[in-house]
Amino acid sequence: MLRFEQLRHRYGERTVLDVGDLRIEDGAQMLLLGPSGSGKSSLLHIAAGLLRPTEGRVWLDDMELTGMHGAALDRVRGRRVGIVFQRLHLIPSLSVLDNVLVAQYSAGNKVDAGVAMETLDRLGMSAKAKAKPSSLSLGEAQRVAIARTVVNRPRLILADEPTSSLDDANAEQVLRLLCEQAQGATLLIATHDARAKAVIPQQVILKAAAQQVVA
Amino acid sequence: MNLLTLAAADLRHRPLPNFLHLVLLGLGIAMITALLLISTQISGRLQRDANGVDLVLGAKGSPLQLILSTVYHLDIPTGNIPLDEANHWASNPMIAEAIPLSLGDNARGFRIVGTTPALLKHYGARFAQGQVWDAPMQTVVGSEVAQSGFVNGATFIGMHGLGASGHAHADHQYRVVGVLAPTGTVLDRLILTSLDSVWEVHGAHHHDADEHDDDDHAEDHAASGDGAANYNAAKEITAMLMTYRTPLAAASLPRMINTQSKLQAAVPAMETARLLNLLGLGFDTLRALAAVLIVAAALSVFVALYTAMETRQYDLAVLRSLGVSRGRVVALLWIQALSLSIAGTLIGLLLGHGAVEAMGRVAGTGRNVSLTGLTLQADELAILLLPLLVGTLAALLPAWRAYRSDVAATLSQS
Ligand SMILES: Nc1ncnc2c1ncn2[C@@H]1O[C@H](COP(=O)(O)OP(=O)(O)OP(=O)(O)O)[C@@H](O)[C@H]1O
Ligand SMILES: [Mg+2]
Repeated sequence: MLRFEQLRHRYGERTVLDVGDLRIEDGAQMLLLGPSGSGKSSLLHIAAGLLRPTEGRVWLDDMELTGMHGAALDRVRGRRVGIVFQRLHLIPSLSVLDNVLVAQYSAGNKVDAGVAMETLDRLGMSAKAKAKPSSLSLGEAQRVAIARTVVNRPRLILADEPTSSLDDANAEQVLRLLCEQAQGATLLIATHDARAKAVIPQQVILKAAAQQVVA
Repeated sequence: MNLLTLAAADLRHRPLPNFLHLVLLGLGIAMITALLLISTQISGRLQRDANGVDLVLGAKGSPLQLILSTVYHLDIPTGNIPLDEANHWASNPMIAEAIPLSLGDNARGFRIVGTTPALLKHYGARFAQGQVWDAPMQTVVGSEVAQSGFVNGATFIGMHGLGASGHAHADHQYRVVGVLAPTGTVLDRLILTSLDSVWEVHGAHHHDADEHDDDDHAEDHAASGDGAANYNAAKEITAMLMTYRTPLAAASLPRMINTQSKLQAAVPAMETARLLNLLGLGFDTLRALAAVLIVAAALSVFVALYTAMETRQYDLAVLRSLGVSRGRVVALLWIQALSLSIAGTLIGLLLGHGAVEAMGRVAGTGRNVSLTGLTLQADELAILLLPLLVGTLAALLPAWRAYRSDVAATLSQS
């Protein structure tokens, strides 16, 4: 369960996010919609503990992220939150398998090649375990990025514009894989890609000016 | 998977700048190491050879030349001096010990030195085989000489002069009756015999002055040119190594000898210091060059790390988003800089030792100062501290930048 309490965020004088109270239940799969500049990315970063909101509190299950700092917050992010970036950001010096293992290591979990290979296998990427990211097609790289995100079985998966640079087929595939691989985790996908609505009907809409939340 | 494997993967991913760093640091460290090895070995050797010799009495000329020729056996002597006069000074109450030396011949490049057994005692030499001479034409050879074929019982003839050229004293055969254990001093490269042997060879031998390789040598054997008759009347030696009975002697004796006699008194400690000073000038220049290389190496790690930060910032932000703390990201960069610097230093140490060893081998069979790269010195521990400094300095700014970077902002850049 992800819960925001009287959440507001300002950059300087400008309030870009005013969601008030918002609660997303366990296992929910939702789109976070809104025009450009409405604060979708900011909200995801706040949920991941990467950005501290100027007002209000954020809860992930029974933990208040806004009350945590430093390495403790990093550990919670590593273990409980998985993030998919629009530009994937696989680490180019590491093999596909190592890109998954690094997530286990970073979270402070046991580095288990068996689990990592299973995860890659579920995404159809185990044959490329030894390949370097530079040799992958975009679709393959996306699968590896998803494997890296889900290998620690996070409680919350956040994705920022995962489909914006993809063709229809790839976009649909990524969304389906995310839903499939979430395995009970809460899934929140920020997008302004209308195609996403066909796959994931539930949505949170951020409005540009009034910042009113419509569930 | 840990910070080390992450660091190693990234280093492998960018081989060129890292290789440049290894080369720069390796060369700098190699130079410093080689300088350290060479200067300690040379000055150590000079000190051991001059050990306990307070004053050298010889013919007038350059004092450095006198010391080089009679203490280190490197240069040719300044000339000969009458034995009587040398003995006169040796009997001065301020002198504890006086060892006469008579040079002039060599055998296969090894100097034949006429002296007394006191020289052996002075350097604390021990016999590996045989014993000291008890008749003319018997010799005791140093360990390196013995290794070159002058084994116990062997016979050989001397060549006139101190180099490998010159004519043979074919009618006078020397015999090896004793071999010394290695002393680590100049003794290892000398053939020692009684003064009588040298006088016998040159007294009975007639030759022209033009055959000498040098004017000094004409004086060297002035007596022999005039025949055996008056050679007995004026026995000559090349030099007398003297030890003071009292430190007070240093203040008066050398000046007394230099002003009141036709002889020269040279102080090994002073001449050695002068020599090391001359060498030191060269060493200092090389040391400065090595320092420049090391600074360049530090800059190269810094530039490699810092420019890599442009692309690397995404990797580091990903690690942070995956749960790695700021401290560990800093540690990762530090480990990377350190492992590069340590590798460069180790390569440099190996290169430096290898170069000195190669120089020692090429310079040959230890005729002069023998060098070896196969030793470790305490000062090298200081060199091992260098990579810590270089690596840390180079990692400082990139690490600070990584520490301060805004993960969210970095990852949402497109
Ligand atoms: N670090 C920052 N400093 C100042 N202003 C920022 C910062 N990050 C975002 N903003 C501003 O906050 C507003 C919300 O940005 P955000 O990236 O959250 O919007 P978004 O909904 O994700 O937009 P898009 O659809 O274009 O990705 C924008 O006006 C943006 O310019
Ligand atoms: Mg955005």
